[in-house]
Amino acid sequence: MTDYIIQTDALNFQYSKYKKVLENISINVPKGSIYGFLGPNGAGKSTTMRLLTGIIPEQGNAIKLFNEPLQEQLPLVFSKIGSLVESPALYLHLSGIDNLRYIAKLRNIPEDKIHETLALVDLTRDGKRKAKQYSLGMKQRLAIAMALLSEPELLLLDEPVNGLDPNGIIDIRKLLIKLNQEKGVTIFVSSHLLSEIEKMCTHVGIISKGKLRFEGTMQELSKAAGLCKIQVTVDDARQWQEKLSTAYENVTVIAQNQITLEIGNKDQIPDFIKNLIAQNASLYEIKILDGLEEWFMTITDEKNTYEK
Amino acid sequence: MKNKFSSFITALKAEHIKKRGTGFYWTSAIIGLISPLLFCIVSIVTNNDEIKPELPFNFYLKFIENSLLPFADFFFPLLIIITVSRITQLDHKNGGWQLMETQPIYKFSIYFSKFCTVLIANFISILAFIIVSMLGAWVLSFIITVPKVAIMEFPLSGIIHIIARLFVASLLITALQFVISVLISSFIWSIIIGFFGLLLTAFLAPFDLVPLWYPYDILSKIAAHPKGSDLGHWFTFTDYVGVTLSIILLYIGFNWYRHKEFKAAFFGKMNRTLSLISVVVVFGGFTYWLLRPNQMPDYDKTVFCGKIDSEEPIHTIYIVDNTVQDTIAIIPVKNNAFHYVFDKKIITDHYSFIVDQKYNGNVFFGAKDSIYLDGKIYGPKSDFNLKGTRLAENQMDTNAKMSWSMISYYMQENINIDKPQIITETLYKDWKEEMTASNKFRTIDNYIPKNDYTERNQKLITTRYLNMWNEFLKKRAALYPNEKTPEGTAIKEIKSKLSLTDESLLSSSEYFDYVKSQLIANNHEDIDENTKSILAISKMKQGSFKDKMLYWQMNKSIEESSNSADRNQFVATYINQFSSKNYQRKINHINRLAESLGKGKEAPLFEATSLEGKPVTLTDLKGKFVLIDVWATWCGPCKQQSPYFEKFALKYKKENICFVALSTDENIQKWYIAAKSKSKSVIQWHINTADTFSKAYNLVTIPRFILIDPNGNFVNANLPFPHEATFEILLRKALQLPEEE
Repeated sequence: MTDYIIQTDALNFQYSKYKKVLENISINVPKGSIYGFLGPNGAGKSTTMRLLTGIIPEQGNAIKLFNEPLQEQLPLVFSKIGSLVESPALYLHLSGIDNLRYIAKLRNIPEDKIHETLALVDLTRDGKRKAKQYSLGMKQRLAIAMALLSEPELLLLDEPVNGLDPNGIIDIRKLLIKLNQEKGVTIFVSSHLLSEIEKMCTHVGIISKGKLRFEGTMQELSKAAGLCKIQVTVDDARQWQEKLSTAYENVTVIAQNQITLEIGNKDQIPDFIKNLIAQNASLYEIKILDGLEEWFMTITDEKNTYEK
Repeated sequence: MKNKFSSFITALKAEHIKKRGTGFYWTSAIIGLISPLLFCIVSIVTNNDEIKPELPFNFYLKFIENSLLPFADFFFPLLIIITVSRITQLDHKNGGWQLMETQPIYKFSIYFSKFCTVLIANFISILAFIIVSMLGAWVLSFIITVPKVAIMEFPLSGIIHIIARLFVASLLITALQFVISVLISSFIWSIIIGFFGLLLTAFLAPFDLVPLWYPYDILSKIAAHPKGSDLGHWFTFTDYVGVTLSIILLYIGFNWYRHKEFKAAFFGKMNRTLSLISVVVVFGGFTYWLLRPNQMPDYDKTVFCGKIDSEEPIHTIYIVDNTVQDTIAIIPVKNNAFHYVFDKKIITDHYSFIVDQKYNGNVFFGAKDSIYLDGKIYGPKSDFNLKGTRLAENQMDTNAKMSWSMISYYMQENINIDKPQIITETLYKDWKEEMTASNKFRTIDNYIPKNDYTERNQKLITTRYLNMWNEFLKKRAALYPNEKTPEGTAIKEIKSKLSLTDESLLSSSEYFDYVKSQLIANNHEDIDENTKSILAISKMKQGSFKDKMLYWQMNKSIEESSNSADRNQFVATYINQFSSKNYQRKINHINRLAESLGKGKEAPLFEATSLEGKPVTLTDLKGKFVLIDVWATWCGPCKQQSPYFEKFALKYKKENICFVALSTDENIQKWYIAAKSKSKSVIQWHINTADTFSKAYNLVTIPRFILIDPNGNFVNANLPFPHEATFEILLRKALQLPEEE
């Protein structure tokens, strides 16, 4: 059996009686994974994040961290967790070093760890400056440093690369991968952009409108998204629809000379074209309608949302 | 538990890292030192080296007490409001609450480590206040003239006491502001609520509407009562109320914070509701118990005891009743302490205590009371505090303010005499208000007067208002003889509260006035009021009530009578109506005294000292008229009259008359300096035997003007004041000078 660091069992949350913010969210984050938690703004990512950290009290008992109910472990479980929730929480009147010193005091960590961690996020030169003078990216890095300070077993990061420039994003990504691979830190990271995290995640959960739309490994994600939709412009479309319907799914005529259909994946497209040419089709154009990104958009898009 | 404790300490230390660079504790110290610093500067600037007579006091403590008011009433609560807001804003502004809650730290530690930091800031402020006060007093002692009576000892225990009281009294306002500031993330609200709460005290205080538990007022009680408890407790009941209410508030505030929502915090689960109820019941009950006023229990004997701090030995204390001036007890004082147990029953009433004929005061007590008199005498200054079973009663008497009322203003200025409706309404309203106010007095230790006192006090208030009503009736009858003045239900209600046969009230002349007015109300004969009254009284049933009424009336008639023959006739007619020999004796004595001061009687001799320091008496001036002005340097009205007196001394310089200014000052040096600067036309004497003089001349008030003829007999023992026209007319008549054009 897989060892799960975070598990929620049909997590529900509502601010008022009628509006459910989260509905039946069941997340399973295996130990040692980098779990990307994806969803558009307002999907319930932050609420989930806050529930996982106990910042807002759970309305039930669905969350388990380290295989124990969260509520029974608060607040001492945080000695194993580093977290960064929403906008970076830093004391702007304090220097970078003092911010870390504050965390070090609360977590009972020796002070020499502070410089090590500052170096890790490349803030050594700016450690003595006040946090209010930092750029947005520096603040974000300092906040990450504060989360990393205690070398936690689990990192909960809410939009960690928000506001960073491309280099910054790459640096953080490298850092997280390094932590994951060298120290075995399990990382739960949320984002509203798939492209931001798809390169580092091992597992993905996708949430939209308070419901979990997908959960699985990256491979499973590509497979699920692999179903490729193409648009074919060809003379006498209606005739071709009949022919193609036998071999492909969802063949529809959308104009006099245009049909759309789904094929297994992109790799099948060349063979599909050869096949059509072989049957003397007057082929004008073939266009791929969906990719991973488009698929992500599709399942999180309001109009396409379907009830399970 | 140990875990939680170390978590708390960790959070507290971390909190101190967080407040780096904010100058938190410095602000506290600076606000603490403003008040003593200002007081020191003002003392230096306004210093005029005048030394007023004072009781011995500790110079340092006095400095603290003087700078306490601005600190406790304003600067300190202001600091608390600001500190609390700032410390919570650090986290509201920077997302700190979330950050802290995702650390391995209990919420209890988060919440109370912050609260604790505020308490440390409070303590620093108090400490700064005390230290700067000490320094200020020390500096001051080099710049201004320190009174001789000042004690310069370092008042360690007094300082610790004030620090402890300030700290405890500041708890409630701190807790309240803290709870508000944590819950509301916008800083403006906690500041507005704090300032409004603080200002509200100022608005409500004049109307006596500030509740005892009002968080923003508990501190200011320290400034109002710097000495604290009368009963020697370290803290007063309002301090304890502050603590119990703080516990409830912090309990609610913390759980609200912990569970984020009020509903979830207290009504989400059964055990949360139950624990809220138990906290509120236990500590609310405590608060209720503390706020409930106490009454002193009866004592099994009647005791009057105490001690008197004085440089000179004190010999005797007399207890004298206020009606007939009977001496109830003569109490010997040994080594400045005394203890007297009454063997006879004492009627509960106001009495006077007289210390060695020099100092006196009022005391309210009766059977089953134990009164402790704590007296301090230093030169001309004296201070008497009455404690024991009648602490609240005597304190209420001492603190009684002259009550101003609309109706007394109307009466004084003759306003609305033509509108009985308005007079009735105003009278009733003012009476109601004063009756309510009379129930409000509490000592600093939450003791209220016993019921007998309160009832008596309310009867006396009612008496006063009914007398005003009678005064109104009289004025109205004079101005509008043909118009009726309906009494109305309001006046009837007031009247129903007052019995006409309450003997215990007859120690008050006001009650006598009222009963008299009711006795003669239906007598419309054309004779004067005193006659009507004596006729009515003589018809009363024999007994002590009649005796007292008769005594008051005869006393008054004798005082107002101008003619020796009439007076003696009057006394002879009515004196046998007394059932008690005691009253007969008293009236005879009063009559004799009046007689002895009558025209043609020999003026009693007295010994005095002249400006040159020679002993002098009246016989030295025989052969001349003598006009005496009895005065003292401390007496304001005397100073007003003295220029007129001097004017006549100059004007009649050539006549056969001596003008003598006779001083009754305790302090002969003061007299000497003042008398030296007076006109040479007036002979300046200082009385040697003030006691016998005032008895023989029935000296009640000064200034007093006495005219004696060349044979040493009275012409007039009680002349009008010189600024009145009759003064000169009487003077010229005696000197047989013709009337002036």
